[in-house]
Amino acid sequence: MGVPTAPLELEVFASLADMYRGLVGMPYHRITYIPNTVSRLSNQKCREYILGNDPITGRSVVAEIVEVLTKPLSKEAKRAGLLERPEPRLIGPDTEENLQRLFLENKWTDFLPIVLPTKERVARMLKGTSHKLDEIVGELRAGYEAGSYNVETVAANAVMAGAKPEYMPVILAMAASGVPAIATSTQSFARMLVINGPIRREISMNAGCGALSPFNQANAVIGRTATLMSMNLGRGGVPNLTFWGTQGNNLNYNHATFAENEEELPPGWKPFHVQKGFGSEESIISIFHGYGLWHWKNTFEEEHHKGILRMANWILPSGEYKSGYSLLLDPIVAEALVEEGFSTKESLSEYVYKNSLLTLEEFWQYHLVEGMSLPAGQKGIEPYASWLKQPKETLVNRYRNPEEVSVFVVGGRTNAFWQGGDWRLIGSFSIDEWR
Amino acid sequence: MEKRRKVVHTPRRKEAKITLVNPRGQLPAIHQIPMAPRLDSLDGKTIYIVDVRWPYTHQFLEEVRSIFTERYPRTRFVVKEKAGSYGEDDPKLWAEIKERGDAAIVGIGH
Repeated sequence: MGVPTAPLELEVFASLADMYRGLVGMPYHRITYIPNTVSRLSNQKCREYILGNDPITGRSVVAEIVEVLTKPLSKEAKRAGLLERPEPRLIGPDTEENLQRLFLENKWTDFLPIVLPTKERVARMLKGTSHKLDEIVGELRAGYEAGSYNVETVAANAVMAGAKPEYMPVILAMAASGVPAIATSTQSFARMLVINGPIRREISMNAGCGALSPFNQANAVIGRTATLMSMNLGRGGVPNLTFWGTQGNNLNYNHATFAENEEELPPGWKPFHVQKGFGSEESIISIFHGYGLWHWKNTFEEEHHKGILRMANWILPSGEYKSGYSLLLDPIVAEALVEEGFSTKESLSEYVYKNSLLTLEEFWQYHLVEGMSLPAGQKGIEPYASWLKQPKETLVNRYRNPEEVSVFVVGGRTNAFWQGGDWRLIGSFSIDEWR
Repeated sequence: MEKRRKVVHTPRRKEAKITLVNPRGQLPAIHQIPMAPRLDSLDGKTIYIVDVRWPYTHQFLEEVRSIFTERYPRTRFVVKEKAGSYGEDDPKLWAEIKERGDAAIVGIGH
């Protein structure tokens, strides 16, 4: 801005603010803190915070703000310059015990046992791809800055997770997507990783009984690598510094990774990647953003499509903060839905989209709608701009289009169960490019 | 005389050392930015109070204005909402503050 600025922040984010001012090149910026969140706080309580003391310094908030704007700067604060921060290619040599401790103490792991990425192990992992070890793969931003990395660095994380070389094309596709598996948000979200195409069989993934449980090496390790890459390549995952998910999400261990059971799709139901325009013989990973999975037992309707609609109505409405609904159906459920009249996945998505409605009164009350769709409407962006002028009883669609309702078949036919969750598609990425 | 037993010292086996490939990505260089010169005082100045648009926090910034107006009657305090959601930049507002303001108070993240 070019003018003196006094930032106000919450005490709980002090360590982040301290780090961030360094990252943006203003390590000497002074920040004033208040005790706690002010979202929905009464005016009276807000006044108390402002008239009170900074919980870190113990000094008056008002006096500190004035000081930030008026106290002369130090010589260091007036300086310009460039600070390089190169990472060495290799670590060591040292004993295995010392290196395991180094990785743990530096929070480079998910605190499950890791396989140390020795030069020999990484060399073997690199045989899983034709790409050269020094080829730049991409950038990930899981913390507050984007780390860049090459094929060898990705392979090191794959070794740590316990991957086999044949998983490398999938892992490289994830790394190249630029989508971090974890991020800084106070929401504790996770990813869902769905694999389609021939690679599923090549690396013996599980699309049947127990596909989402820890009973298959590829399913377990691919998702685990996503988190390790976000921590190490994307510099995220340190609580109270680069990770602020107030409760965390257990799915961050492996991100609901599974292969779609394409072999059990009813006639007329296409594999997910084919729905997205890829050829059936292409191998694709689809990455979803969301929070959790609910079991069908939370609904009671006899016909599956009615229970699916009931669950659809629990999901955050999709607006400028995009939402989504994903269904994981056992093959028996998919067959039953065909008998209920849904001859394609698309017809089921269409049914949910058309019938999951809410009033504008309800829509505007959602936290993320107030924070994102409302300002968009005020800027003139449709449909929110028009919705602001309509009566509060007006019914609108919860989802922006049927494509926000994704349908998968996965499971082993032990019972007619399904799961649903608030998962929206971020993107689908080629695995074959990384063979 | 007791026969002395020969003491044999077994050399301590050295623990093998290994070298690892660093699993960490590369970070860009940091450009340090010199901070803007400070005000001599608040008197006669225009101070913007910027609401970054975290949901349901606007009342806090209005209270900041109310309190500072009470305490610094010779200073003009202007509350402005940043355009867009909390994650969006607002270069127009920064340009306005630079042109018409002398300083800014910015809040609040949550």
